[in-house]
Amino acid sequence: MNSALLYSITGIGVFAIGLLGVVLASHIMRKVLALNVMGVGIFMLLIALAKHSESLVDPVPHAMVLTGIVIGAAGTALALNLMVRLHKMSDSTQEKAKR
Amino acid sequence: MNLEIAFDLLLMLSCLILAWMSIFAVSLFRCIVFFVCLGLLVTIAWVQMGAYDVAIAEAAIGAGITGALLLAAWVRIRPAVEDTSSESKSVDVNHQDSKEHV
Amino acid sequence: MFNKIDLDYNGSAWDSAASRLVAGLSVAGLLFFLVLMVFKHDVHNTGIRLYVDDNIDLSGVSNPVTAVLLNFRAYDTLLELAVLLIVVIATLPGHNQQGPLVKRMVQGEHNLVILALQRGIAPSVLMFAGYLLWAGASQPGGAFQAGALLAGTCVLMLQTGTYRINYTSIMARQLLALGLVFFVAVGLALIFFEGNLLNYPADHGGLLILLIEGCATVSIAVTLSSLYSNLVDPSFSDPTDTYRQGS
Repeated sequence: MNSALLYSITGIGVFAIGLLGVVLASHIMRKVLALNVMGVGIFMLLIALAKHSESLVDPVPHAMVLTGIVIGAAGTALALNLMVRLHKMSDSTQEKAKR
Repeated sequence: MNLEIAFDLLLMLSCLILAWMSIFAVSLFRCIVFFVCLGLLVTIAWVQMGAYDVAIAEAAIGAGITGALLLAAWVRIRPAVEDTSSESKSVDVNHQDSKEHV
Repeated sequence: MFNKIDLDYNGSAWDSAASRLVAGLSVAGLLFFLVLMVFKHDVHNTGIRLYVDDNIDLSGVSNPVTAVLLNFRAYDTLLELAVLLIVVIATLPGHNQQGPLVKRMVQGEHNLVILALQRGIAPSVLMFAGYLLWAGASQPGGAFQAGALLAGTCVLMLQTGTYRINYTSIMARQLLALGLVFFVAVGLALIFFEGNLLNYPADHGGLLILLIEGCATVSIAVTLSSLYSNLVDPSFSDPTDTYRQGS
């Protein structure tokens, strides 16, 4: 039971927590956070599986995770923009209803 | 059990706990703070597994840029605190949502 | 949970406690299955690591991650830059403002602490980003890390309140598209010289990778800081938005 195996199990656990969060959370921003947590779990699994022994490291999953981090940040930015626009639209309709 | 394995176990346990707190904490601000902490702890995990390029990128993008984006969105989405008259008149559409602090 | 088995019940069809239980059980099942798969996975001498180790001298760099990212899987990096450009286009402000790229605001509220901080931090981070870009060939580093560092400094400078960056100006659009355009141009030019898309010549591989990484760094920095800036203060891009920063 070396540390790479333990890290991959932790990665799966973090992914499962994120999946539960996407399904069960109520606010949209918590769902966005849960999606990011799922991404972090997958990255941990990939990098743990890339460590073949103490000195042998597979570089292809590292490149995949690097790409994944950048695309994840960009996707989060798009999701947050949509959420802010949704909030603005629902707020403005409530303003009109009050007057 | 030597120190290396103990450090790894502590790191993994902290990652799991922080992942849970990052979604199901009481207020949204705490969720964002816990998420940035998760990003930083995960950076140490990458270093432990020998992925140094990924660690630099995760510290800069995953914790830095994503944290700034989340905080900027949170500022725009929280209910206005100085407008006390509108809070009593707003319609309670989702009863479950009104119980948690946003 | 079992109180709702009642003929006179008129509430919602989904019981929230039962649905939470079902979700928890199915995620636990998925977790158990994945852990079983990980235990059965045989990691010794699998993967493409052997191919990378054999061919790393042909790639022009000695850092295996940079070689994989910009030579062996260069097409994936090209598509990644394209996805970043698409996301920036989707979040750009709606106005088509002609004007300078950076405008220095003299009046208005300035955050003095961050101003004093960024006077010391910004030049050092600039130099450090340049070092990371150069050292990416042989040590951990590369284009994405350098671009992210520059974007972080940009976010810090936007927080002071003294600068206002117009991401729809001509200069900004050129900077946003520079990385992808240069990458595609190099790839297409290599079709004429070497016969395949992005097939680097063996002796000029390092130089081409450095040039592509330089353009990609600039592009990534402007992209990430534009994603932040459009979320913070869109009032100067959308005049009907009455959001005020810092209230």
